[in-house]
Amino acid sequence: MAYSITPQSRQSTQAARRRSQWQRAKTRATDAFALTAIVPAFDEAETVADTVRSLQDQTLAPVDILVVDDCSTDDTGAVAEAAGARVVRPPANTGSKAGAQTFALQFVTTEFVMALDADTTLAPDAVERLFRVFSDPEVGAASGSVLPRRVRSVWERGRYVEYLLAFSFFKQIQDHYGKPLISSGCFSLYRTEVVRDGGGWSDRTTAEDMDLTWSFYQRGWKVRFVPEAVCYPIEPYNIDLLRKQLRRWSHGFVQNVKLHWRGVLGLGYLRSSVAVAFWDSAIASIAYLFAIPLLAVLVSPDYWLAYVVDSPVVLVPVLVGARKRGETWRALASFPAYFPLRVANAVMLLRALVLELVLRRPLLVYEKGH
Amino acid sequence: MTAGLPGAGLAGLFFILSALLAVPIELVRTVRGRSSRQAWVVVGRHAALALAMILALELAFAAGNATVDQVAGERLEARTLPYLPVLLTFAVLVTVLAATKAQELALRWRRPRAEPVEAPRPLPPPRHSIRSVERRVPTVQPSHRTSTDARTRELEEAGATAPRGG
Repeated sequence: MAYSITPQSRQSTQAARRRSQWQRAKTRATDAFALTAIVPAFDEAETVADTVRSLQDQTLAPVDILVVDDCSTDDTGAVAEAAGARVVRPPANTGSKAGAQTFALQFVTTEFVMALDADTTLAPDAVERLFRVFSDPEVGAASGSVLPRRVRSVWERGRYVEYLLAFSFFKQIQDHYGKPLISSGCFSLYRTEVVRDGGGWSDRTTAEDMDLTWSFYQRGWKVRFVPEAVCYPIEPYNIDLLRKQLRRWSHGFVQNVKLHWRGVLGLGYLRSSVAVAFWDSAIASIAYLFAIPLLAVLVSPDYWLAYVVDSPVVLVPVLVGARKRGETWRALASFPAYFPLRVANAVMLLRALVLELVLRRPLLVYEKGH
Repeated sequence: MTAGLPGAGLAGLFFILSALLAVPIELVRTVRGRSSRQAWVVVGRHAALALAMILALELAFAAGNATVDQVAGERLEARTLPYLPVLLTFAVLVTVLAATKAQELALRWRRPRAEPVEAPRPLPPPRHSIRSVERRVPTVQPSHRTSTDARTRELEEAGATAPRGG
């Protein structure tokens, strides 16, 4: 007798098949590699299932996928559970990604743990590629490249160019000198005991990933960057979400410099990277927002070109990175969007510098954007 | 240059110089027998990218100047990157790096063993079941035993009270 498969039953069949494949992959992986994936989630019902599925589809799959439903107001927990994840819920909203991840750490019994944002998916071999660097027993953490999953709005396009630039050149240089500036919080793998010994992810700054990375260095652990391990988060697509994200990042950077500067001073290349980033951020912000417009108006209109004078330097690594992915035209089409994003970065960083260092009004609330 | 942070040239120059400086460093490592073919591939790729960035900037300046000259009806002159801004940026970079190094030395001189950040407080060993907050999906219960489990078992056997929920 012929029978038709309804969309629902097809979905459940696919889900069952995926779960079965995952079980087999887990069994293969358990002998040499025991990993738990922590996925902190607050109101992520729309995206968390994709995240869980991308974890299940890994060539080296985690044995446990732990979604922290941080008291969501939507169906995040139910969606994650239906996708096959184990769901834990704190008694009250933890107030930050760091809080949710640290809460989940008590349920982790594996040697390795990874943090993955609930709006982020992974390339199928991302975990396997990242795991390879842990053959060095001194490596405590590793992260991969980040690329926006959607490249539509001007902000997403700007971020796409920004990520290509950072991950195709700057971060690879940092890794060559053994000191990546940050192990990205949206996708990183750690030795569980090292994270646990450090007290988990701290919410004393709004950039918990930078805090953890710099703490690892100070405790003598290596951090690696693996460009071939790629993750795809959903980046802010409008100015409101972008403002929230940049506010968190800018304040987080300044807070981490304040918190760690003594410890970072003794760390050679990291000291130089942080000093240059800090100086450049402050000066660039003042230049973009005040010096260039003033000079253009008062001295010569040629000064407007200062906003794009470094385009060739930016374009080379961006095109090299895009070409490897077969996305040259997308990168070229997105390139103009990089410049307004850079001005937005300058506005938010200058604001953070003034609030944190001059007015002594630190950002204490973790505002969820993307 | 890091995503989310603006850059105006200092970081660009710093990383370009880092990429170029890696070549002599790798040469020294090779002489000492501590290099590898793979390391040279990485160093070579970075250095080539850095040189391409400098060349692209140089070409853009030359092309821009030629266009301006042609529009103005002037005779074409071969022009290169203006050296003064590049030298000024380099001077600022050296000053920033030297200042942080001096700060490090001063800190070391004042306090021989500076405590970097307050010592972290380790978290307790994992709790395997907290019924009040946890909902388990039977299919994904971990069936393996890891070093962490072994440590917990050792603690239990030694009579230590590992914190347990619910």
